[in-house]
Amino acid sequence: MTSRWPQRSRRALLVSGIAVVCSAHVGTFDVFFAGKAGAYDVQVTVRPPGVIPGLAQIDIRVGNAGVRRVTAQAAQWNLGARGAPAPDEARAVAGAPGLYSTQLWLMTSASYAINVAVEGTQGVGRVVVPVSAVATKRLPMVPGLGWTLAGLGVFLTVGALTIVRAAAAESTLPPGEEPDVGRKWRGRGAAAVGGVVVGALLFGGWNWWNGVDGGYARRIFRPLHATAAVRSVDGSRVVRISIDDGRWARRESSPLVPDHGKMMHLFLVDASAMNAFAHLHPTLIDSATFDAVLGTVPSGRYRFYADIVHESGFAETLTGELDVPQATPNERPADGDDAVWAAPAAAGDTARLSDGSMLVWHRGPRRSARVDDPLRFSVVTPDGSPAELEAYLGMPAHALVSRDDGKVFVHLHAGGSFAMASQQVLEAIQRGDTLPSVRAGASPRAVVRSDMAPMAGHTARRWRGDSLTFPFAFPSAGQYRLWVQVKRGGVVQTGAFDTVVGEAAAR
Amino acid sequence: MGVTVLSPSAAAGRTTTRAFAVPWHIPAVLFASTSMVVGVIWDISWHMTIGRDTFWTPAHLAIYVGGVVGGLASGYVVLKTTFAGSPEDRAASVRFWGFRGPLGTWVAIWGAIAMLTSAPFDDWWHNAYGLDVQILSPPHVVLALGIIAVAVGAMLGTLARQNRTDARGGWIDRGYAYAAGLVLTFVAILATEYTDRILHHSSIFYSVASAAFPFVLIGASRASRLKWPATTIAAVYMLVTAMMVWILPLFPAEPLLGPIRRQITHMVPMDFPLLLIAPAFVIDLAAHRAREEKAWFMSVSYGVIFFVVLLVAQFGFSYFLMSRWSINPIFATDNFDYSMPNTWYKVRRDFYPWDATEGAMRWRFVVAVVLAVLSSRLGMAWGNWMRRVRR
Repeated sequence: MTSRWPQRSRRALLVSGIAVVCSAHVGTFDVFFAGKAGAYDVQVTVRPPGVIPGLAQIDIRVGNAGVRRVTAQAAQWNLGARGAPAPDEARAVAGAPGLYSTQLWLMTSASYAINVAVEGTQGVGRVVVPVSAVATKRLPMVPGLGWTLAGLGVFLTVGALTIVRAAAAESTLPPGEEPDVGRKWRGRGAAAVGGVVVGALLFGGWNWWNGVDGGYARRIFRPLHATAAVRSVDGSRVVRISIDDGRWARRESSPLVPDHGKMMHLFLVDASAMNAFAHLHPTLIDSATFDAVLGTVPSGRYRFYADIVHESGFAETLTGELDVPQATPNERPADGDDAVWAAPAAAGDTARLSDGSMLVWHRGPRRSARVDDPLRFSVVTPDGSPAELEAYLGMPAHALVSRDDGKVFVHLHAGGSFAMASQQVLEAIQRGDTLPSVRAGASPRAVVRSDMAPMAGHTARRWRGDSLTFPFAFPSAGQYRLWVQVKRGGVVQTGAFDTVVGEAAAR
Repeated sequence: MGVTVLSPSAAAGRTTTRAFAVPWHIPAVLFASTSMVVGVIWDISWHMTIGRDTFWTPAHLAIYVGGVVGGLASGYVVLKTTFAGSPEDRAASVRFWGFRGPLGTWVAIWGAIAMLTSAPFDDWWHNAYGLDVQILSPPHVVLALGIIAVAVGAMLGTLARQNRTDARGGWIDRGYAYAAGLVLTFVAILATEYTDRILHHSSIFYSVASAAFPFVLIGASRASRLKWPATTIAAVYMLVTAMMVWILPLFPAEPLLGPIRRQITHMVPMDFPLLLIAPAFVIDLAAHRAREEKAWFMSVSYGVIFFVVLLVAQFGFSYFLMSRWSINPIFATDNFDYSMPNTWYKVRRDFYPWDATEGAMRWRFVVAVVLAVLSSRLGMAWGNWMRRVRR
């Protein structure tokens, strides 16, 4: 046992049932992966426990026959598989062919690699799914349990005092002798003193509990605090994102690495009706400051979501609000990978893109929260044939999902909901026999940069737009807007859709 | 059930009982207490070695068996005494909400119910705040109180029998000392987070030890009829704890939770027991010369003796424990849990600098002496009462 002395208890507010803004995304920590594990097509869903240490639910769907064994292992980022327990076998789920399930312990608040392995007739296939493990909630005590515990507490308290009374009044009497009046009063007096002692102990215990609860509330994950402000530079509007969090200044978390070749993915969402949206890529000014040209972003009040990835593979989204002033006549053009969209969502399942092609959402009749329901789209030319898509940040398409109140925001790509950089870092660490950060010339930044170099070359790659699938489950009920972005003719095209998600089915 | 013969002794104002056989519930509660001690130490070792557990681990089962046996045996005695007890049994009982039973059975039943209460509380705690990796948490304290209550129930059960018999040196005297030794072991386990060997040159260890151990050692030994009661009780603690240190590593095991920072192939034991036998022996020597009427003088003497002897013994012994000479099956000071980093004091075999300055440490040593005196005084009061317990 590691000796870890408890921190000094401090009284704090009792919080209950907190579900908060979350890491790589906002409003959910669930991770979805879809892709290849060797020769096998797999979809992995990781539902972190919300408390740390806690059990994460791992569901693995294998699309191939001939599977003999599926395993999963949770490896803390800096220790890798060598510092992880032996993989757990995922059990086949009855009535769901190809679905395997297990639970893994996430013991620390850190970035984790979920190492999935599929063994079968086509050999062994492996894939790493990154998960950011942090405490996000505290389970409230259900009234039934609370009353049961309170009842048992009262029973134990009264029982203890009764024992004290008996101990003082009767236990020292010779057998058979009845306690006289004086002894009876002595028993009552002892019970009264015992009551004071037990009351003090209960009060101390209550304070202790409150202290633990307050300490836990302070450990619930908060993304780094950031502010956004727009200023004018040479007649152009430039948004500056500043990380002004003491934890960042104290270097409590590891430095950043680029994801999809960008140090930050900044999303602006019109705070009133979500009818304006921008996907920008600020450049690094210093370790806490990022600038991006706003280009044609309309004026108004915006929510901002800034995705960053740390060297540990830990991904988080900085959030806040900002006011964007009126555009000037001399606005500089934004980065070539930036995109600005300002229009209402499509009325139905088809959105017309700016080059005349159509983005079609192939959705089912209804959607429920927490139900795996991949989002399927296709892009077709006006004559109905599949459109050719260029690589947009190394991917055929990106999707952004936001609930109307802004409390949910998720960045998806065809591989899933995780940051590609997280996966690259964790794979690199596990390939090595020592920590990359201490191996000269092989820091995670170098790894990601070197891996991104060929990705940059992928700009020449083309995809057919007839099947774009994003593995996903809406985390909660509500009114949602989806933006889907593809690149055609060197221009990022954005289509938007609205949808309503119902409550999760009772389990 | 044992056969007892009662012979009233009016002159002494007490009833003298000579037991020809052991009443079955006495060894039952002693077994319960032993099972729980073994279970708790095994469970802590499990968490140091394997990490992952379920409701049904053997260590947990040993604790449950102890609670169930202690609770049910005591419950049976209460029901039998209440509804079908002999006049002698009923005469040697106390009342509780209309029921009758010896005091120890009520304490054990209370402990069993407290253990039951802790189960849903602990389960909720893990779901609300995550699996706790420390010994001291509110639900664990409820469980610990329950376990200690069952153990104290075993102690009181043997004590009442001891106090009703004139014979000395019999099984009941030794049984009582054994039960008291198990209670001391539980208290030592509860204090584990502050008695780690890396703290043996820090004031916190001596403060916690001074507050916790004199109460049990002096209280329990005052009610014992053995010639060397404190020594015997401390020896029980040391032997039980040392046996677990020696036996557990014989079993192969590997971690099932991460992060794993150490290669572990066998069960990792807890630390080698504290040298409580040293202050206990000197306390016994002092007790042989003590004058009963000077309670506060005796408390001060016991408190100072406990602190000074423990300081000399443990402070010096910890040099050996922190050396590489102690890495062997006897002292097992390579008992690092699976996630302990190489940078931690225990692995580096360095003492933890709890006290910022030596001056601060000396001042806190004074506080520790005061705590030892108060603990001794409370222990004496408890022991004086226990000397008279006959039911």
